[in-house]
Formats: sequence, structure tokens, C-alpha cells
Amino acid sequence: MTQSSASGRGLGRYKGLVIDADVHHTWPNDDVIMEYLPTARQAYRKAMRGAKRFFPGAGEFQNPYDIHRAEFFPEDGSSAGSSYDLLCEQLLDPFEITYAVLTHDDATFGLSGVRNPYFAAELMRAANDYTVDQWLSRDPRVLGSLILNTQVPEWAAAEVRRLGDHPQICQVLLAGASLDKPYGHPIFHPIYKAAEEMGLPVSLHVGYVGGMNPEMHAGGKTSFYAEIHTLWLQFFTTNMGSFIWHGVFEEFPNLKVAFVEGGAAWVPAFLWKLDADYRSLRSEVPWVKRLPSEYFRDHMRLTTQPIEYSKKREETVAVFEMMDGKDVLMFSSDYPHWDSDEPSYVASRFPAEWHDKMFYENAAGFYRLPSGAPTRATDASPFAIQPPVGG
Amino acid sequence: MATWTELGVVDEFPSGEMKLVELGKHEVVVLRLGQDVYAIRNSCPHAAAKICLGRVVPRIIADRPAPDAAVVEVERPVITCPWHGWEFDPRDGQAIADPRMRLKMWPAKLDGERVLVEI
Repeated sequence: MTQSSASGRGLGRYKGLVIDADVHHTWPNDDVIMEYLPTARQAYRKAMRGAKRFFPGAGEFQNPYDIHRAEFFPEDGSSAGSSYDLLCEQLLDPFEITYAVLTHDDATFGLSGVRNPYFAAELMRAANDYTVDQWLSRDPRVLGSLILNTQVPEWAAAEVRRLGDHPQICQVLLAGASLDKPYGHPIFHPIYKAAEEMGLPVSLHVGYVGGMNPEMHAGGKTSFYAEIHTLWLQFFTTNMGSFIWHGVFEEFPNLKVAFVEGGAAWVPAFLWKLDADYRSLRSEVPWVKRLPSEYFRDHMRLTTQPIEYSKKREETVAVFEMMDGKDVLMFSSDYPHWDSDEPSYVASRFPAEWHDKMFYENAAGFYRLPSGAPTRATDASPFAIQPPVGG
Repeated sequence: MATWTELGVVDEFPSGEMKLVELGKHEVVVLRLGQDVYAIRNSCPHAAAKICLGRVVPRIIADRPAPDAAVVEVERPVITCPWHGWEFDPRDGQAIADPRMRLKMWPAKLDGERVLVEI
């Protein structure tokens, strides 16, 4: 990113608005998030001796070069993704990002894996309060995701209702499915009921395993970071099918779901399989009333990074045409991760006539954002953008 | 030019059961449902399985995913393909799960005791 940052926006011929649907943020160190926990929890944690790690899973699989790019760490040594100023300097300003959707970070994705469900719920509220307090209040370009601890779906739904009407909260964010069931299962439906009530879409992000969180892939426990990084699509195939077969979009007809950071080229073949099985097995799931591919096009979206590329550009485009990629893909950089994609890199891989939709319109529709860019943070109101339009 | 041809008399076609009748080069699956009679080409549009080997079963529908939500529509049975289980509405041949796919059908009717097909 920094290469293009130095030389300008780096979007080639594309001059339009940009929504970045996957920008990771976190707190500088655990002392910061402690301040957002209940007083008793703070006292308990401060009295602890030994390791005070908040989340399970983090670090179990280690990228040998770190999952964050070296230049994305603040100079004071705090966590990558914890500096608003650096985010502006490295992403928002040079690439003229219209909206950046904050999606928490890898450790927080272990939220649902924390074995103590009460602590997990407190951490959930703390992470969301921190986001509103330290990030959304600073810049109307920055939009927030309500990350949920899904161990107790009713508590998660309450969190959606607690903060879901904040004008810069644009979605609900789910990671590891702690109850060992994919997310279409009716046990999670209270979350979707709350999201639909609040007019918020839901995003699934690949997340850390460990603790109460299951593996994100099938067939046995893997050994290497390289393995899990190539298998994340399995988390999404499982959950995409689950949303379809459980009839989630019949129960919640206004619900939209995005799959974040799991690639997308697997979608066409998976839709073929879903449709084929639906034609044969409909009577087992009679509440499913349409072809799965139709639910997909009406209700589901995918972010681009880490999108799969063939060496031949035309092959890549052909694959994504099979899934109406122009209409369902949403640009994401995945800043500040090691494999972040610059907007120019993504733009160069797709036809120019796709860019308006991929870089803005698809995401604006998904997040129910107003058309046009927000006013800058220097305006009198920090919340100068209009609240999302419901319905 | 299509003409009405007699396939047999009504007692030869028990209601709710499929019966294969060979008519020249055509394999005609006859299904009688009460006073309604349907004539279907003996070939699934998916993989050309012989429809006559399939079954006529109640249609199961549900308004929403919930316990006890599924109900049986006895008055609107479906024909299921013997190979892959595709369901078809015998009234128009349309696949229940994919309206773009349908069985080939010929006009059929009861004329008194006679079962007629227009081929």
C-alpha cells in the first residue's frame, strides 16, 4: 500500500468513490480495553498473577512473517491497526477512501471462543464501546461493526439492540461459531431478528480457532498457518449452505449477509452444487422456496481480499462472471494485514465497467449507506453522515 | 398433425398411479388423479431417467423453518424422478424446485370411460 500511497491514489482509471469493507482495528494494548470492562472485572484482572491473555487461539497458528505488515505498526510499538492517525496516513487519505468499515482484528475474532461466557460478553461490549468511543467519534468516514460473542445468542442480540442505532454502526460481525453449529442454525436466529429490526446486515469473518470456537475447516486438525490460510473458504461454504438450508432468508427476508476474507472464486461451483441438491432434496427442507443461487444473489455478498487470481486475467474475470461478480463483490483491502490488497491491484484485475459497483455501489447497498461521500471529521458534528436507510 | 388417440379405459388407470403406454414411437406415462388425467413423456428433463419408474407422492411445503411447520398437500401430489428425486407438478410438468425445467406433456382427457391423449 505504501508504494502507491507515495505516488497518489493508485486507482488507475477509476476515479469514483471507494468503500473498503474490511479494515482491521484494535486497541494499542490491553490496558486500553481494560478501561471499558466493568469495574469488578478490571479489579479481578488486575489482581491476577501470571498470563493475562484475553483471547484463546491467538498465536496458535503463526505466520512466520507476522500477520501484519511491518510498516503498519505504530512507531511506539503498539498493535498494528490501533492508530487512527496511521490509518489516515496509510489508507484513508492516500486512497481517498470514502468509507472504511472497521472489522476488529484477529484476536477479537476469538471473542466467542472465550470459555467464560460472562467475561466474553463483557469483552464484547468493551470492544464495541471502544470502537464507538475511540474510532467512530473521530471521523465520519469510519464505520463500525458490532462484533458479537455468540455463545449466548440472546445476549448477542441485546448487544445489537444496544448499539445498533448508532449512525456509524453499519453491520453486525460474526466470527467463530462457538456453539459448534454453523450460523444458519435457529439457535442463532435471535441475532438475525435483532439485526433485521435495526436495519443492519450481518458479516461473517474468518476467525481464530481455540477455546469454545471450533475449527474453521473439516477433515481434521491442521498443522500449519499455510494450511488454515488456504482452507478459510471451508468456513464460508459451511455457513453459506447453512443459511440456505435453514431458510434464514425466508424467516428474515430483509437480512443481508456478507462473507469477509475467504476469497470468492469457489462460489460458482458451490452454487452449482447447492442448486443441484436443492432440485433433488427440496422436500427435506420445504421452507427453502427458491434456488439457492437466487437467495445468494438477493441476500449475499463477498469481499474481495484475498481474492483468487489466475495468471490469465480473462480466466479470473470468467470465473467471477459466473457468480455475477460485478453485482456481488465488495472491495476490501484487509489493512493492516500482511496480504493487504491495494485498490489499484484489485482494479487492475477486473473490467473497468465493474469498478463503480465493486468499489462502492455494492457495498453502499449492502450497508444501506446514503449516496455520495460524507463530510469530513472537521465538521461541527462528528456524525455528519446520514443514518442508514432501513428496510 | 396431432390427433386424439385412445389409450385405454379409465379402470385401467388407478387414480394416483403412473402407467406406461407405448404409442408408436412415444412412451407415454399416464397419471390419473380423480377425474383429471395427464400424459407425460417418459423422460426426465434432467438426465433422461424413465419417469414411469418414479413415484407419485404428497407434496410437502412449509411457510417457515420451524417445528411442525411442514404440511402435506394431499390434493397436489408430485411426481418424483427415480434417479435424482426431482419433483414435478403433474398438472403442467414444471419442476417444483426449478421452474425453468419441466416434463414434456401432451394434452389428455377423459371422454366418458375413455382416456384420450392428443399426440
